[in-house]
Amino acid sequence: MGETRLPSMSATESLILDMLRGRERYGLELVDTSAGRLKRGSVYVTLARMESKGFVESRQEERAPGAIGLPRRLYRATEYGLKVHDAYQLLREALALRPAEAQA
Amino acid sequence: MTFVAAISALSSRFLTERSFDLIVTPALADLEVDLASGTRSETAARAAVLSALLGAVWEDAVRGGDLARFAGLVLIPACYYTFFFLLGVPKGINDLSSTLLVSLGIAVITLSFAPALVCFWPERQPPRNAEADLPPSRSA
Repeated sequence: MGETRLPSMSATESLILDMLRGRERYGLELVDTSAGRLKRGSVYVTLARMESKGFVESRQEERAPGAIGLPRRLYRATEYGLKVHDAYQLLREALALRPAEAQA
Repeated sequence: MTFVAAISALSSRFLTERSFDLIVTPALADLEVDLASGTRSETAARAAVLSALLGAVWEDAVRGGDLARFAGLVLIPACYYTFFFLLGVPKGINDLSSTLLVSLGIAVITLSFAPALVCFWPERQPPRNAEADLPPSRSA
């Protein structure tokens, strides 16, 4: 019987999902609201990786006819991504407990 | 050649369509926003695009499983050049200055890396012209 491979989630991915909970955002917006925790040069690599894992979805912004320039991309968290995020959050909290706290 | 055209050409050569769409295009769009608003320095904005491009190349290499083969192709000439370099220094490398050693190291890496990169890396997609999407005033 094959072993189920559990999804992995880094702290950066967790932070992004926190910021995307309940709303769509641009990549640059994520960087600006992260207070320096996300870097512009790497945010899209992380977002692309998260999209491959199914944690986020993205779409190109809707633009007026005749608009010029490259379209920007909007990101939102998926249900799956949020479930994995919440599970990891519980795990991190549990692992951060000291033995005495765990017994209380 | 403008910055956007250069990034576009490099992307055409080295990136998959997916990585271009998901990583490089949004970074270029952010560059446009920065140039239009003037909120950030142009140099920092361009550095972010370059960083995104390098990250996309890395993602494609890891995802495509080409990394080990590419590393092997870099190592073959690197060993070759290092061997001849050591032959030319019969007294050992201890007699050489650290600056010369670093320079020779950089030369060996460049001579090994560049041909493997240019010749091996598969052509990923047809050339595109992202610059055509940009307004004329911002395509500098």
